[in-house]
Amino acid sequence: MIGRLQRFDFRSSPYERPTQAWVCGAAAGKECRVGPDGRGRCRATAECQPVRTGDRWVCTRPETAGGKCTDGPRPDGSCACPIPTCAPVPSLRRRRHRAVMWTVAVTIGFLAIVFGHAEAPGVPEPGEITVKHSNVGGCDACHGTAAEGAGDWTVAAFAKADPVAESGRCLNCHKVGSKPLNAHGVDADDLEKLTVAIRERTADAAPIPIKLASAVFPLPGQFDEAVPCATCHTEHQGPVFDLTGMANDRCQACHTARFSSLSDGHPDFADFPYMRRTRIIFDHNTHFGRHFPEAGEDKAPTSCNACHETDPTGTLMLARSFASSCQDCHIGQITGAQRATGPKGIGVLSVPGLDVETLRDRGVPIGEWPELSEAGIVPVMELLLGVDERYAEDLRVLGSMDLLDLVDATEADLAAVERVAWAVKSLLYDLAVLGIGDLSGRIEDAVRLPLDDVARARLVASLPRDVVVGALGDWFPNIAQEIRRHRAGERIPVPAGEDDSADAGVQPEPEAAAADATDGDILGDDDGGDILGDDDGGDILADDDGGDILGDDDGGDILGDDDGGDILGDDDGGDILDGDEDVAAEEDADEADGDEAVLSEVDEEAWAGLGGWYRRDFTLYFRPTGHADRFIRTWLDISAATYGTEAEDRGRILFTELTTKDAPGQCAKCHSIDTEITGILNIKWHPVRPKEDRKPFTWFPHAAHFGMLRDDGCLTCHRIDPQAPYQKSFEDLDPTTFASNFKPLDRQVCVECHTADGAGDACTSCHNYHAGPALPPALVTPLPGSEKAETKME
Amino acid sequence: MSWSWRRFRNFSFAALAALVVLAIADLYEIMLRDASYMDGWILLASMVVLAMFNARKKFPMLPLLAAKTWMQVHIYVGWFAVGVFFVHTGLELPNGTIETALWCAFVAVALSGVFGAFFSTSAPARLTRHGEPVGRRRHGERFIYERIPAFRAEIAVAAEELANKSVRETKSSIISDYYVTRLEPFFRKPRNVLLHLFDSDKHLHTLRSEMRALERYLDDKGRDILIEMSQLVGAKDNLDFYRALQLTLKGWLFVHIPLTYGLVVLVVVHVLMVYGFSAGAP
Repeated sequence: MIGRLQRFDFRSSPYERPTQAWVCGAAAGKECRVGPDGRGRCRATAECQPVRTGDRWVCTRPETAGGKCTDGPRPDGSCACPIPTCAPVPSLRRRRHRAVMWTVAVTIGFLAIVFGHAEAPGVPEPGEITVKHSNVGGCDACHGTAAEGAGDWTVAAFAKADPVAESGRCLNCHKVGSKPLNAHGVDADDLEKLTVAIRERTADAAPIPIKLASAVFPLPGQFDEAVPCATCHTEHQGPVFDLTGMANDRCQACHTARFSSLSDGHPDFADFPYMRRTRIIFDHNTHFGRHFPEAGEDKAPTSCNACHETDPTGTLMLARSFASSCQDCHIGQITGAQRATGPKGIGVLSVPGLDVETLRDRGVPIGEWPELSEAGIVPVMELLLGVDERYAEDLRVLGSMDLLDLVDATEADLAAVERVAWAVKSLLYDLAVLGIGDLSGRIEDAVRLPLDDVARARLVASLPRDVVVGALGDWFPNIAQEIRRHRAGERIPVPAGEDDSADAGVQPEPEAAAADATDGDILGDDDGGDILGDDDGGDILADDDGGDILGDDDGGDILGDDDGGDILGDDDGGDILDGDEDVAAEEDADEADGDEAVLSEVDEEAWAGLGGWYRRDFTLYFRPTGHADRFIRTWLDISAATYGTEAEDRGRILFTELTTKDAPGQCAKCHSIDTEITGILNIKWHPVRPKEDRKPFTWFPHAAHFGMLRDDGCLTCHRIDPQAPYQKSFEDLDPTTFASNFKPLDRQVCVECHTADGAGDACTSCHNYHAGPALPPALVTPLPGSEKAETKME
Repeated sequence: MSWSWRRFRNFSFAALAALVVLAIADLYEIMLRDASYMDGWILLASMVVLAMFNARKKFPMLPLLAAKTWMQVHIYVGWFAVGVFFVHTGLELPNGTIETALWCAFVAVALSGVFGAFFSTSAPARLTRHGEPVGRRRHGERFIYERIPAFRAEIAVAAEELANKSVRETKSSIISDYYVTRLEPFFRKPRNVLLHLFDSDKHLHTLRSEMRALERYLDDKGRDILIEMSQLVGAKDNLDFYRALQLTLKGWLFVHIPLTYGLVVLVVVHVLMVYGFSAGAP
């Protein structure tokens, strides 16, 4: 049997000192009781310090070390039992202390390596940044405190943070509107209005955590409070981290209408996405119910796809082009082919019909004026004449009069008629003489808008000079002479009428009047040898005394009706083609009359069936060439642009004329008109198109949902509302006034899939925080060879 | 109040406190604030409290509650710190160099602390069960760790003498041969640390089975010596058990304490960096 190993009596139990740094290095069980000193040095000498008792040295070895030794001390009093020296070893405590020192040293060394190998001076990366930001540069690209290294950011750690200023570094690349740090980038006033409006119409159904959070950590509540980028976007979370991820609860920190989820409390869609009326006026109800059945299967579409398609990203549903969707039925309405009454073109220039007889009788000096004209003053011409304030007033006076019956007109009225008449003549004359450049200049003055060359060209639509000259030749054969005399201050009375001229014998017929001119201008009112000149030279048609070809003089002209022996003369001479005797000549004359008749029977309007300029009676028209005719569109645009400006009065007349239900082109039948905030009108020439540089608040990827639509297809979500006053909602020109053809979207349709456990119900699935402009970072590339490029290459 | 109930109550308090921090952080985040700052400072404060336990041990003369109380505070504040740490890191692995080192250091300190807490709780009872019998006392007396090498040497000497004695008295080398081949290496130094940690005595059964197998070749004297040798084997194995457990009780602090100091260095750098680069954070 073995005895007890451990004893605790004072004789056999040494006192342990585990807190000492060093312990004896002797073999186990052989440790000396002296032990090393505090610095780890062996202090072993002898097992005891003998003491002298009388004349003897006595051993003092304690009982714990075996008691008195048998040999006893030496004669000199030294101990006879020396202790072998050892190499003391560190105690456990000492070793642990060393481990602590080593760990701290290794940690500091690790930090030194990390800081030493960082890209930027003294700045280790706290985590990889996203791939999208991997090329932004060093840390100082985003952190202002990192510019000068570790010293800077260590100091910055004790400075007050300025998150708004730091967000400016994000905005160096990210262009998110003019108020980038406002909530949603919206102006504070607008945000307040929106918030107040929503607060009035919605109840707060926030879940308890959000209510609690609002109560414990309320937001400042200021609408102009900046929202630094780092509020939502946290970097250094790894290369594929979703920087735009946002918890649903966080969206509701600011929002007034708060709720639990899309399925629980989310407001119904109400007017979404029909908040703004359609740019193209297309009444689905009337088309589905009436027009398509009438058009028949050949023309009417059979599915929504016939008229709608997705944009390239599959997000928006767009209307297909006019050519592929509307043309089959509507092109005739635009060109006028289907128009039964009224002109098919736009009257651009006209000679207004006047009561010429009265004017003549009352001595109003307007010169020559076609008595047969019954035309009115067309709006374009009214716009152009109205530039001059005097004429503008006169036109207002004339607007209340019947210009074809001026018997009861006052002298003032007649004076106004006179001024307008001369203004019309001047306008036409200047157009013929100065060209379309003058006309476009007048247009620019009239609308008070700077027009570029493209717009000017479109506004005159390559008006041929021959059209103008031809019209003037018919309407005012002596206009050049009259304008010259009028501008010289001469009063030019109305020439005598047909009946009067026979009596007085002073007023020449228009044809004869043409020969009165003495100048050699376009229409021959000079002394030179012009074609129609009535000068004394040998002109072809002159009635002078020379031997002209067609002159009615006494000379022997070829076609003259004189008494000479002309070839075609109907005189009494023995001419070769004398009518009395030559049957062939008579037949030729009949054929010529027949040809004239054929030409005169041509309908000018029908002749211009494919669009362009034509003249009918006393008006010069332009007929639309087809859909999106640039002439009409440009006139509509500039007249719309006069609204809200000083030229609005002039522009309104033209705009109203061009947008009536029966106006040529019928543009306003389908293209809606919006009143902009500035007051100008904006004609929506195109249906909605995706704007790549703008992000909407709410978006819906249509194409992603096609695969899960039921048999109803588009009608799964877009259900027709047969009672909606769709067309009526376009009358007030306010784009926000809208009665959609479709009933509000049913939120439950979305909820069927979009739950937290299903297809997800994150706010950001459908809503963009940064709505509005989304411009890419500006790219400025210096051209090769430029100074900047050279510097870079160096 | 039972020990287990007290432990359950304290742990519940710690877990509840951590959940409260989690809830506050969530509310904080909802209101568009960065909760990392708040829970980070709470974590740092709890780490300071944990470190104060070590400081308290350096000033035993001060009347600052009993070490036992400090130990309890250390354990449950440690559990709270673990909870706040996961709130702070969001149960995600870090991807920055320093953050990864910081994460690893905290986790290592926490794991070693958890191990230490469990082992410090379970080991004393096991040590008591294996204590050296003293009279009629129910539980034996624990060995002082520093004395174990001397006792082991004492037993080794006794075993060697017993082997020599067997040769002299039995005129047989059966026991001595067995001693030389199997028992001398066993007595020479500590053995079977892992087996003792897991409370296994498989090695002891093996030795004793081998020794029983020798009995048939021994006379009565030889059998008596073999029984005595078996008792020495048992005593040595008990010392090995004590050494294994006490070494572990002291050894886990070789991980926990040095890593704590390393963690402190990393935390200081982390806080400086966070505030140095946080100008953009609200």
